[in-house]
Amino acid sequence: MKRHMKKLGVLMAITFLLSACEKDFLDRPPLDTVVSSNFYKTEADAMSALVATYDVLGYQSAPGVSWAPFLTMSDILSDDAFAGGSDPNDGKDEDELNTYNIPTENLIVHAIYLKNYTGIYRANLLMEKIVDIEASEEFKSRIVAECKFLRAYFYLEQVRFFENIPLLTETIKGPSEYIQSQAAPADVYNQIATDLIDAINILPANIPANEKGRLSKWAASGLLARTYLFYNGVYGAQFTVNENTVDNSVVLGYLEDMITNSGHALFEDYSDNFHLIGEFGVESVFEISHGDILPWWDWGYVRGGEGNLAAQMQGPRVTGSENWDRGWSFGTVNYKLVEDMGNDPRLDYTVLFQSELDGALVKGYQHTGYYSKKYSSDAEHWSTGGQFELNRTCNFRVIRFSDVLLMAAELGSPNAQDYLDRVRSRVGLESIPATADNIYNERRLELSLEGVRYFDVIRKGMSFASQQFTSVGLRGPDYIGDQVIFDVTFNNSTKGFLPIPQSEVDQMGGTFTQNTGY
Amino acid sequence: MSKNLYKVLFAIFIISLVSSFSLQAQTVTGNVKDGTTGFSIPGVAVLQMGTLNGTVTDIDGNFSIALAQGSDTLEFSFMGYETLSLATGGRQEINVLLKEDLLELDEVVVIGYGTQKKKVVTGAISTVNAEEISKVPVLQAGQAMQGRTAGVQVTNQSGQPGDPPTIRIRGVGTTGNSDPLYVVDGLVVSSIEYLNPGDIEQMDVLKDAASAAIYGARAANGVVLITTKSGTKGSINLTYSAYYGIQNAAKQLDMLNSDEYMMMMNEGARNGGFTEPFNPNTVAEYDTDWQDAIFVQNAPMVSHDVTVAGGNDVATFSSSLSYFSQEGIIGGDKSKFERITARLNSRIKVTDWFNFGNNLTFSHVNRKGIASNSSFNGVYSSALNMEPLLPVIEQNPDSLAQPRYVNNADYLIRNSEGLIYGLSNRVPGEVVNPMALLEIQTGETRVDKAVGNVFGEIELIKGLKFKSSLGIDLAYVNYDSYRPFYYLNGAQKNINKTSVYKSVARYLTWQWENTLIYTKSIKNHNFSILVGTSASETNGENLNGFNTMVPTDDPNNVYLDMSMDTAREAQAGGGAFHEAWFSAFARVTYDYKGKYSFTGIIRRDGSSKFGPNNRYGNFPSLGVSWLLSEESFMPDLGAINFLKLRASWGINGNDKIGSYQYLSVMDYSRAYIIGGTRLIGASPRFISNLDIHWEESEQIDLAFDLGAFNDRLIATFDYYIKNTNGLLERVPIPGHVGNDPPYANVGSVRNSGIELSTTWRHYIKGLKYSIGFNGSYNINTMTHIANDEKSIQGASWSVAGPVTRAEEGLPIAYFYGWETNGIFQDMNDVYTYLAPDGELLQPLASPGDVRFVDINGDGVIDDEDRTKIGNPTPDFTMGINGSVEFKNFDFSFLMIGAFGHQIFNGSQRMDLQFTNSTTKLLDRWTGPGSSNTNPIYTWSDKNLNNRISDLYIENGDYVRVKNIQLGYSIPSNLLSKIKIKDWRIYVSAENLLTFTSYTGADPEIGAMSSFDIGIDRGIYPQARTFRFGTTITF
Repeated sequence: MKRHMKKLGVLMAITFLLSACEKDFLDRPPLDTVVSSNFYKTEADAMSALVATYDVLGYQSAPGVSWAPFLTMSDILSDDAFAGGSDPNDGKDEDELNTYNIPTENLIVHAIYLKNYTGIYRANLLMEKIVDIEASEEFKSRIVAECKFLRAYFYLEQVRFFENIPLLTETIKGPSEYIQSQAAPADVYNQIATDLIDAINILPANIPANEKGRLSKWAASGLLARTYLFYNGVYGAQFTVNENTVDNSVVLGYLEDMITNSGHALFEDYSDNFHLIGEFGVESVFEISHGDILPWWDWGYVRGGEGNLAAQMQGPRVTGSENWDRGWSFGTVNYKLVEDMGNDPRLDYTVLFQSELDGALVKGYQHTGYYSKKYSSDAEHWSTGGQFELNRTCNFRVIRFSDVLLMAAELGSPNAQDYLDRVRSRVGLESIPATADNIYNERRLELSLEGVRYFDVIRKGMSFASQQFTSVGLRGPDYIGDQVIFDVTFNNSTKGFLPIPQSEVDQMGGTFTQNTGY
Repeated sequence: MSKNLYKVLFAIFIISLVSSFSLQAQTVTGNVKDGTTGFSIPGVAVLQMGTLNGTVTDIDGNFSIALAQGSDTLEFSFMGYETLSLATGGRQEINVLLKEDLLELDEVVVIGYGTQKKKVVTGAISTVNAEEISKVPVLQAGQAMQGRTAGVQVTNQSGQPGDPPTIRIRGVGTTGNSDPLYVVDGLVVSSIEYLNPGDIEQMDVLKDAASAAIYGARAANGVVLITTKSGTKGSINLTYSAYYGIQNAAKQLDMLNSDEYMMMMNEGARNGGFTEPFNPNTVAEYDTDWQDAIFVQNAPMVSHDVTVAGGNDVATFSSSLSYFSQEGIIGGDKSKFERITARLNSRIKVTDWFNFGNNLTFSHVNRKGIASNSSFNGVYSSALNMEPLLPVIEQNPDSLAQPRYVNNADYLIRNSEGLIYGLSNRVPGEVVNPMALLEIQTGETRVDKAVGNVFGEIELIKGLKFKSSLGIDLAYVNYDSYRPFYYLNGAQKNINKTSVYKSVARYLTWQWENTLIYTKSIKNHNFSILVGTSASETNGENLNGFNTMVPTDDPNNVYLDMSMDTAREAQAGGGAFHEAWFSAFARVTYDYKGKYSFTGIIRRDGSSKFGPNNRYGNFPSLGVSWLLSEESFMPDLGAINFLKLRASWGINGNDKIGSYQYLSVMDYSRAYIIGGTRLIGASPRFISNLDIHWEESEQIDLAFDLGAFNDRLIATFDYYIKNTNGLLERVPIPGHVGNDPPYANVGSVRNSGIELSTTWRHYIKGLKYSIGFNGSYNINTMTHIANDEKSIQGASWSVAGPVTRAEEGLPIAYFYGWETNGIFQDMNDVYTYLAPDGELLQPLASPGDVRFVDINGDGVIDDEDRTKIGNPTPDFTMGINGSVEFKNFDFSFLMIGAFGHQIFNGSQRMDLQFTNSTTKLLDRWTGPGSSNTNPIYTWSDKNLNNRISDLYIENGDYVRVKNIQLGYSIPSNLLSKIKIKDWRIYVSAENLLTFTSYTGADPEIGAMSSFDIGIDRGIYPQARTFRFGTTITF
């Protein structure tokens, strides 16, 4: 008996040891999600990856900083808006941007930096992966062109804000590649131009209704011109693309093509640009979509939602109103803009006056009595579900056709007078001579509070920027607070660039140089 | 309850009468004495084995028992003495000497895959036995270790029923999950809240790495081995235990009353440049004490437990049924924990060489809870911040005519009588009427769990045993919540759609272990060799659904199908995961005469949580001990009769991170709207890191065990150094990588400390007493963090941001904020507080504002000046327990204490206007010389007085009388007549007294995570409980 037992026991033990030692037993790939190493295979996968890249366009936050929309932040930097918020502590980081007294640890600065590299990473990744995806060349080339546009867009935001940044056209493969150095700004701009011209050559001219939100070649042309004006203004240089020089005339050529052939035109009603009726309309050359199709609740992952956070931030702090709902009064509009616009008919569509508000108004920090009307917590853009702060539905019109007309005029189009007249007559203004100053000034009137002003000023040079951005003694009739909180002095030692975020500099162990003035 | 009790008693009584109806035969008389002192012992239970026939000794130790048919063996048992069984062998007179059961070192400890006599144990193992647990019944198994085990710090997370205690063995070992590994009857389980504490026979805590190494890659935070009760040979015992308790708040904070509140609000407004909100002549209509409103009076707690155990030479069993229910002192049945367990453990001797057994438990847990420590939606934090001018119930027609009531008439929250809860039109944000907030709490978790194993053991040859054990841990977890319509204030409302959320998850872990153990003694050389394998797999799957427009009157019975929504906003989700472990291990123990002992362990573990590069790891350990007192060369040590030295070294791992963290998984939470449709996007969630491995902890332990005065005094002293390396964290990577960082092994932490536990027990002429003390002193230091900041940000508080963090050279999770240096008394103070360059350091400050310290001396007060302002982790924790037994009375107490740490008192929302405060606010600065610690009260805090600073930090030291108990055992001579073996009744009080200078509601604040510790956001305080209980054994 015992002998049998012994055998039995030993047998059992050995059998078990062998069976359990199977290698597969510990190999447990995820069950409910795909691993990146075996994802990129089909057209559908490529589309998902593309959507994830577009997704970053709508990001207005980054891990650790929930609220940093490009629109609000660039306007706060400019002379069009103050920091605002409920109190100085609420808008501390915004206030630092507003007063050009920006510590290198400013969280919004870091959020912007992280956002753009997130987009660049996703664009680079998809361009690397698409090679092995089974799809038609036509399908692939359009996706690559969109990736190039998006990469260019993110690099433009990045280089205009930070100037000295690493230029990555491939993803980082592991810790050994973490350390990078800053590229010369010209290299970044040339990369942007190269990507955009590639995109212009491939992207479709017409976007069907069921693809509204995807990019057209005209969007790329518009972005190229915007990039050129800034680069040429700041550095006095032209692009070099594939060893060819891309100068005023080349860029203008793309714009003229658009003006003539794209079908883009001005809305009859200026204000359509900021209403649902005008979304992806004829005037919209490049537009970022926002919405509440999936009502968003998650305060811990704000950028998972599609709401326009700028609209929430800039809305007045009103409760019990039929027309505006519980904004946070960031980016309160500078009295200077109201004064500069004077009797311009566009003022009423640009600035929301305190007197227009019904309901109970709570006046926050740097209360001027003026708010942005273009992107606000107005009733039309309220969400139907979800956490209301996270679901404002207004699309961000990044490049409008009126901007294209003004850029073409500024670049010396023979039709400059016509272009300027078109922009002005649309709002019932009479013609003025198409001088450089008039064209430039028209941009302020036409495009204020749309995230354009800051870079328009910076590209005119530091003495102009100091003159424009330094604003002392202005606060309007409805202000709350001491004059000192409305007094802003531009710091031209920074050349208008933000600091490279401190933790980025720290992690590079010396390969990064901080921007001048910080 | 009492009605049910009587029913049970009656039924049992009848059964016992019938069963004991048997013929009387022979009578045995005799006397029982103490074997050492020779004193007679009264009250010794004398039992005829295998029957219910028994008696007890009288005051002179004499007994007389008429033997019934059956066994001729008598069993003599008395608390504090070793139980003695003696065959009568036909004798009519038997005199017995009982041996005092003092020799703790003869106890058997569980060491994982076996047991060992404490005498020869080489590692640091603390034991809590059934007697300690049954004497002071705890609500949850984990609490049984509180105050009883040196080196094991048990802190209740909050006073909410069912909130698990935080258990830390030898300090916080990681910035990740530092919970110990729980092993119940050999089965690794995910938590122990399912256990009925009454089912526990013994808890053994493997504290040092050498002992824990037998659990290898999962043991770095210590191992808690729990053995449930099994039957013993002899008569069948039925034990019924029950208690009923009432719970009340132990402390209420002194809040501003209405007059003080109005005065302070006026002052805050005035100082902030706002219009004063209250006319100074206003007489308040209400003066609501919100704490009175929310605290439930005499919240009930009840427990029933029936255990039947027994057996014979072939089979033994122990089976139990228990019910426990506890309602909270806040919210009553909105904050309730219920547990039902059923258990069967059996052991069957199939043949001489084959044993078969099982341990099976079913448990059902039902938990309803509210946020127990939250700045934003906590009921208690709302009560501490809500204005006293608001009535709990608003009945004033003028008030009810105001727009906030009228416009939201359909969404107002009403009490059970249909009356409307008051809505404040002043206090903003998340601070709402706490009674109304309670009314809309609906979250409920139900867990059904089956845990158990079945094993067979074969003796192949003498001393060589093969054991195979197959266990499962199966859990179904249901969670429901319902979101009714409500309007609490302009920000806290749901006026769109009601909604219901449901989820169900299933977790199954199986574990198959095979061990071969050979035990042999050759002369005085005793050794055993264990080899084994363990394979285990966990599968989890969950489903959840959400639906809108679900009208109901009963939030406890809401289902997805009840939706009336034509918009079809239903959502569904679900996922799954799996994990697996495979391990092989070996252990050699050796001792010579018990004098020299050696233990060596090696375990090789494979864990699916890591990539192919680092899937397997080896975990060795060595331990030696030397029983010095047995050496002939040792000089006489006087009173010391036992002295053992121990030393051990070992390496353990911790793999408590989520599955697949080495991989880069696709994240589908991306989206963009194209063509009016929200398209789903996908991109990698984070960069992959194939090289991650478990956290590795290396520990040295040096110790001695001592017995003196014939083992009346027993002491154990341990010194340890524990270094944990390769902490798994996501530390920032450069932004230009463009994706979130992967886990990486990036940090090191060191815990070192000493532990002392000592007990003195004595018996003098019927008076038996003991007093025990255990204390642990632990120093925790983060020794390395592999990022450039050399720090990791921790938990946040309120809207103010991070309040804890880890940094090299400092303890894990220290409080991080600004250091203050008094209050500016006048403008001259402000003007003379200068930076090195002569500029004002605080240009925005006014008199009454806080003076912050420019720590880095750069001339500005900013984020860079934040520094260590406190440490939430105690350096020293202790427990003191004592007991006295005299005649039939017994008395015991347990005190716990923690010292050397601070608490962040953040229950007040100073960032909001109109919130109420404790009366501490009255000590604010009001003019030069009025206060140098409490700043001016102002609504416009330009100087940021309210930022996180040492002004929030308080000394957290406390000593708490955790339990005090008085019991009475019904005299055996009375009991024997009604065939009851043992009947004890007791009254006890928990948390009767707390000595602390902490001004918040409760200084015992457990960790919600390694970083979220010691932050009082208005914590749900622990109740003061009075219990009446009884234990009857038939």
